[in-house]
Amino acid sequence: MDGDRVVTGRGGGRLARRVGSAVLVGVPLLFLAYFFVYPLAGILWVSLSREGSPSAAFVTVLTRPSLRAVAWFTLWQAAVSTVLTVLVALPGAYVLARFRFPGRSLVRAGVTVPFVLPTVVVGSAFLALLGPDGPLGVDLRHTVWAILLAHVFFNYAVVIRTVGGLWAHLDPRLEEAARMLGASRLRVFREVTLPLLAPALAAASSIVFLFTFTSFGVILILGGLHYTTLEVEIWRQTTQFLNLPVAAALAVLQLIGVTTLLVLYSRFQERRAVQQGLRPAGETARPPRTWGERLLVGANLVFMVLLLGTPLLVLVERSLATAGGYGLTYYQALFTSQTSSLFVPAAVGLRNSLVFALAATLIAVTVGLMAATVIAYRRGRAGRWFDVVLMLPLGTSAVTIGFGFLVALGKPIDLRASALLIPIAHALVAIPFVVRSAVPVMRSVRGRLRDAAAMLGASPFRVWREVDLPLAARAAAVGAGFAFAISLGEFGATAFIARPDTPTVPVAIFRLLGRPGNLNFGQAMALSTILMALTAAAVLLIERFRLARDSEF
Amino acid sequence: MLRAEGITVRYGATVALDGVDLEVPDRRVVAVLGPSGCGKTSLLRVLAGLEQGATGHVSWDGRDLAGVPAYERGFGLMFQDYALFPHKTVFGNVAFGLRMEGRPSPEIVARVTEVLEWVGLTGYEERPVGPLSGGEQQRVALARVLAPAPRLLMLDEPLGSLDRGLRERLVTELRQLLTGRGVTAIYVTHDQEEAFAVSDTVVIMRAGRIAQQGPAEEVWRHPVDEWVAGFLGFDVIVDAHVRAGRAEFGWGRISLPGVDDGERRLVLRPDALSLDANGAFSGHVVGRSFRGGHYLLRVRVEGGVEVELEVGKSRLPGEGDQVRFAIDPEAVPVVG
Repeated sequence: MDGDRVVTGRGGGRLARRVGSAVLVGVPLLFLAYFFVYPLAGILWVSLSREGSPSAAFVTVLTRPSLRAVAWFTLWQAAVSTVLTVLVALPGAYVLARFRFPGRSLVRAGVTVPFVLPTVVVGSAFLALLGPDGPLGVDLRHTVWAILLAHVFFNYAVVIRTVGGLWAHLDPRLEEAARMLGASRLRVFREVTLPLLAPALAAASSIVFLFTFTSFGVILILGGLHYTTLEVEIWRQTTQFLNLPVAAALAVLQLIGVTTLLVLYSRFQERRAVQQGLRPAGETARPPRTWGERLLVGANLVFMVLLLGTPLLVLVERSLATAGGYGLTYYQALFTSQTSSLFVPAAVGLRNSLVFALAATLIAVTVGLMAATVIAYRRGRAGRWFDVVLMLPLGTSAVTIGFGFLVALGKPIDLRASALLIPIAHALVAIPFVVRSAVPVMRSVRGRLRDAAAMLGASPFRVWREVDLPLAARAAAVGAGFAFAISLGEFGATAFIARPDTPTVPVAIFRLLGRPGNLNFGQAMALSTILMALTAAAVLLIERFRLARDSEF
Repeated sequence: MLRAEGITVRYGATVALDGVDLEVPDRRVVAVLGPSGCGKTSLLRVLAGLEQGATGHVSWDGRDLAGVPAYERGFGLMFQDYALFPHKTVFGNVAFGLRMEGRPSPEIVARVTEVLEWVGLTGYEERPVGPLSGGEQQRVALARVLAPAPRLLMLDEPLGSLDRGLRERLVTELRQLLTGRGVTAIYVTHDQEEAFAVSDTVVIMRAGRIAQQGPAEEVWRHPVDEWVAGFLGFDVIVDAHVRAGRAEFGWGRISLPGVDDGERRLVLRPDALSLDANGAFSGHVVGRSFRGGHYLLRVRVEGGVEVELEVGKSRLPGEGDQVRFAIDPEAVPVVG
């Protein structure tokens, strides 16, 4: 008897699977290799070959007290921002996930808008809010509190969506079972809910930490000269002191720190991924019943409106506050005025931004979903390293990415003049987020469903297309929405690679803010308001799209 | 027809299947019966092509299936928990296999309508599968696996999570559906009543091996060993001394032609014993339980043995009553 003959089939599907696998792994890797690794290598090369001794810059960075203080500040403000954001947003996540109330979808979408606003705009809005002329009447500009507040403002949505997203899918029967077995509400939360939420909490915390660690626009505007993070220091060293070696050394050190963090995170993630019996989100939500619940919902809603609405209201108010009372002067100026800081009317920036955003979304979702598939299905070392590699652009300074493009993409093919450069840079920033939304959903698809599809005649590719893809499509839609909105608001990298005659909206705003005079400032406010409206519309649309499919789910 | 030979599956040190041989003739229903963990689901997965690392041969109509992946075998598998696609409607689920075959749209619609009618779910096409009841989900799963008319249908505990009434109704329906359409099927279950009701042949599995197989009635009448008898629910197994066609218990004797001499173990099934005023045996009633159509009487015979009798509602003795009963020697299997 042929004792070793394998009964199960591997035949003709093998080649197709190998090719498919190669594509799924290859395309993201190649993309990253050329548009991320190569530019970084370019910066490193340029910086090391300038000085006499290659390590001179690193020595400077590691020993100069001011630079070490910068690194320390970057670390602790990110940690504090993360903890603060999670604590503040967790109740909000619960409310939005588990309760049904009028206007829920509007609130959900509204919560996301701050996250995708350009940092420059938020910085300005908080400057106005916390300045001596603002509604609060205090001067909190250039303090740590301003920075922390702005960070919470920004990242509230991350916790809401990531943690709240999973929370909405958790089977409430698990909590009910625990209560039946005698656990108090607090114990249920500690022993059942929190562990189940752990993957989402870890994901949200890491994202918030990374974003605040590499925070640029906010620190630039609200930190003044006292508070500097690594990102701002890199920018200053590059643009003001023209000290490339030190800038590069800082970038390298930042990269090392981020990589370490991501490796730890990835290891933690895989061990924790539990195949959950996810319930459709619509099923777990209900209207608040007790007065306690109503109070919880109400308090959180009020808090959300205050935290997230006030700065934006100030922004709108400023855009309409012309010298002669409220009016649309600044808006009109956008389409006609050609100031010394822009070569074209600011409105052209709008068109550019939209086109770039579409292109960036396409690239980000394509590459991102490929990568997410690989990460979700390849257990062990290979999948983990792929995960870390894909997350790197998130932690790398956007400024470094942009600068790297400028430095390295001149050869072998000169892409620096290409229109594709900006969408690619945006996609690079957005891909990690597409991946992070898709992977947990993909990992939770039961193997049984894939077996069922295979038994009904679906080849591995068709199984992926019919089972995994639709189930991950929802997460992909969220990722796409974010990619689009992130692209619209991206500033750090774009500031380096946008040509003077093709500005994007954030670049235009920054340039306008840099000039004195009410007309420039007013136009900046007006443009910011328009961008805010565009972003909100994009997010609302995605939210509608999500909900429509939710009922089918 | 399906033929499997020497199927062995090992998970590390555990042997899930140990040299299992199985034959499923065309248009026949074979039930695979056994307790949890006996390897029945593993067997199905091996036949389906979903199990990596199994050894042995599986062939269909003489053609070896080694190297043929699951999605090319043309077998249908209905999972224990149905595994319905949550993001598709009833129509989407049932039509799935047909779409994989590449059938044209009008044909698919017609076939789905037909199959839904078979399972009694006409008009359910546009419903999402999540909110359906257990019975409805089971039927959608059944319709889904029937729609592409697979050459072999495998059902893994399809009625496991349903309540008794629904189960009994569906078992009958299933049998009619399978035999009426001439489907070749393997039906896996741990419930012997289901197995007997649905199948032509029963295969009883124990710890990765086949303990006994044969037509349902055969297996019932003649369990091959004590374990099988116990699994089938025959609790009363007694020692007897057999000599020259007569079996002697401590408390009586019966004639038992054609059985070899020696110390043997005999199964006394409830249906083999009957109340008989002139019966050769006597004892008193120590318990009775109502089983729906009949009563099960526990009688203690002198000599300490307790036996079970099936008794109808008429002439029902009370507890403590003295009774006499007879044993039908044709219905006493020897298992040891």
